[in-house]
Amino acid sequence: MPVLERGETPEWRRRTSGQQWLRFVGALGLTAALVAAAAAISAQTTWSFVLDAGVQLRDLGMRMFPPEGSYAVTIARPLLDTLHIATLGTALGVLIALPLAFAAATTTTPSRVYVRPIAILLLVTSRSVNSIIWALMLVVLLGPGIPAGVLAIAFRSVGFVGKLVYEAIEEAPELPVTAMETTGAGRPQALAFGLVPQILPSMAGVSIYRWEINIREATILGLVGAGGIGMALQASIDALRWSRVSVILLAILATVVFAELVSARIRRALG
Amino acid sequence: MSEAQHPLRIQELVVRYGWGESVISGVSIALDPKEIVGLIGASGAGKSTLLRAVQRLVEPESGQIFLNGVELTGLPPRELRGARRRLGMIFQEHALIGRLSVMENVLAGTLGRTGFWRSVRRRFDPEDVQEAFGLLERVGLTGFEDSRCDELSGGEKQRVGIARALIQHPDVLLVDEPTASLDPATSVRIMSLITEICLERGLAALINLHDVPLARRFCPRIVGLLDGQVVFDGPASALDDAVLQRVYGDEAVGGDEILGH
Repeated sequence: MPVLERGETPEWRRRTSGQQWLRFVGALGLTAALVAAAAAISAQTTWSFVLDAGVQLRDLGMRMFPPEGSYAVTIARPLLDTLHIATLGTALGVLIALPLAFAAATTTTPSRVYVRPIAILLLVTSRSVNSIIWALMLVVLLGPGIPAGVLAIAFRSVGFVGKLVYEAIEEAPELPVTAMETTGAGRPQALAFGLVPQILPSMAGVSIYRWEINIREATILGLVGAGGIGMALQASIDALRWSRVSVILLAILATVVFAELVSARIRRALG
Repeated sequence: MSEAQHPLRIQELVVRYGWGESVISGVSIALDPKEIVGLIGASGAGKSTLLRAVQRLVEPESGQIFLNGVELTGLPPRELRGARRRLGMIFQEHALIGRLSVMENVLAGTLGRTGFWRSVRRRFDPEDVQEAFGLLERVGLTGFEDSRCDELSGGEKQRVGIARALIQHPDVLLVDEPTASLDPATSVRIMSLITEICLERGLAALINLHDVPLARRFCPRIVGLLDGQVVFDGPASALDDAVLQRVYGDEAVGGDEILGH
C-alpha cells in the first residue's frame, strides 16, 4: 500500500519499502549476471584474433575494392529470382494464412476446443522455424532451386501474417457483424460483409510488410541452395572473388532499400 | 386480442448470463399493431438485454416471443434468420461498417434476402438499390450515397442505421438507445424521424430510452423496467413522480430530476 498512515496526515509514495528492497535486489542480481556472462565469454575468446580485426577489415576492404562492375550484369538474373521468390512466397503464405487466421481468432473460429488449438499450433510452428531452416529441409525434399525458396518463404510467412491478422480480427468491433446477423444474414455472410472490410487495411499492411521482410530473407536462402542471389554470393565467397562479393552486397542493399521504400509508401497510403 | 393480432408479444421471458442472477426475470409485453412503446429504466435494468433476447442474440432461458403469432424461441437457425429479417433493429452505436459507403451500409439490410456471392460482389437487386435511394431521401441523406460512413456525424450515422433497418421490410422495429451518443437537438430530430416513419409504414416499435422526457414526448405507451421486471406499463401521461421513483428504484431521486425540470 503506497499510502502510509503515519501520524496525522496520510503519506503517499510510489512504492512500499518492501517493493523498493525487491527492486534493489533484482537490480543487483541482474548486474551480477551480466558481469558473470562477460567473464565467461572473455574466457572462451582467442583475443589475438579479435585484436587484429582492424587489420583484417582493411585487407578485406582492399580485396573488395574496386567492385567488379561488369559482374552486375551477370547477377541481374539471380537478383530477379530473389524478388520472385520473395513475392511468390509472400502471396502463397498469405493465401495459407488467411483461413488459419479466421480459424484461430476467438471471435470467428468454428470451434474453440478443436479447431482453434490446431490453427494456433500451425501458426506457432511456422513462426518458430526460421526460413533458412525451412529452406534446408525443403532443399533436401525438392532439390536445390527456386521452388524450395518459394516454399521456405511461404511457410515462414504463414505464422507471421496469420498471427497479426487473427489479432486484427479479434480487435475489430463485433457490433457491425451482430447488426448483419440481425438482418437475417448467415454467419459467413455477416463476416464477409461486416468484418472483412474492417480488417482489410491491416491484412494488406501486414502482407506488404511481410513482403519487405521476405526480400531480405530471400537474399540469403541461396546460401543453402534455395535459389536467388544468395547462390551467387556463396559461389563468389567460395572462389575468394571479393570484388564480386562487394558487387552482390551493393545489389542486395539497393534491393532492400527499394523494397522498404515501396512497402513504407503503400502502408502509408493504406492509413 | 388473438395471438396473430399482436405484431410482437413477449411472454414471461427469462434471460440469464452464465450461472449468475437472471437479467430479465419474467417480462411480458404485448405490442398492438402500429403501437410505439418506450422502454425506460436505470442502467443495468435489462433494457438492451431484452431487445437482444427478442432477436435471440442472447438465448432466453425460458418464456416465449411471438412475432405475428410465430414463436421465435424454438426456431431452428434457418427459420430464425427469416424471422430476424422481419425484426428491424436500430443500434445505440449505429453498428455501421465505417469503411463502407452509406449505400453499402443501407444495402446491408438486404443481406437476409441476398445471396452470399452477390453480397460479396455488391451485385444487389436493382429494386433494392432503387429502394435504398428512396430511403436515403426519406431520412434526409440524398447525395451521401458514396460517403464513407466513418466520415458522417452522429446524427447522419443514425439515419443510415434507420434506412438499413427499413430496407429489411420489417414488421416490428427494435430500437436500442437511438439517441445515446447524440446531442439534445439531434436526439429530438432522430426520435421524430423514427416515430414518423413508424406511423407512415404502420410499424410497431419497441424503443429503449434512457431519456425519460424524450420517451414521454414520442412514445404514447411506456414500460418501466427495474431489475429485469416490469414495474410500470401504461400511457405516457400516467408517468408521475411516484412511478418514476418506482422505476428508478431510488426514493432520493425526485421525478423532477429525471424529467429534467
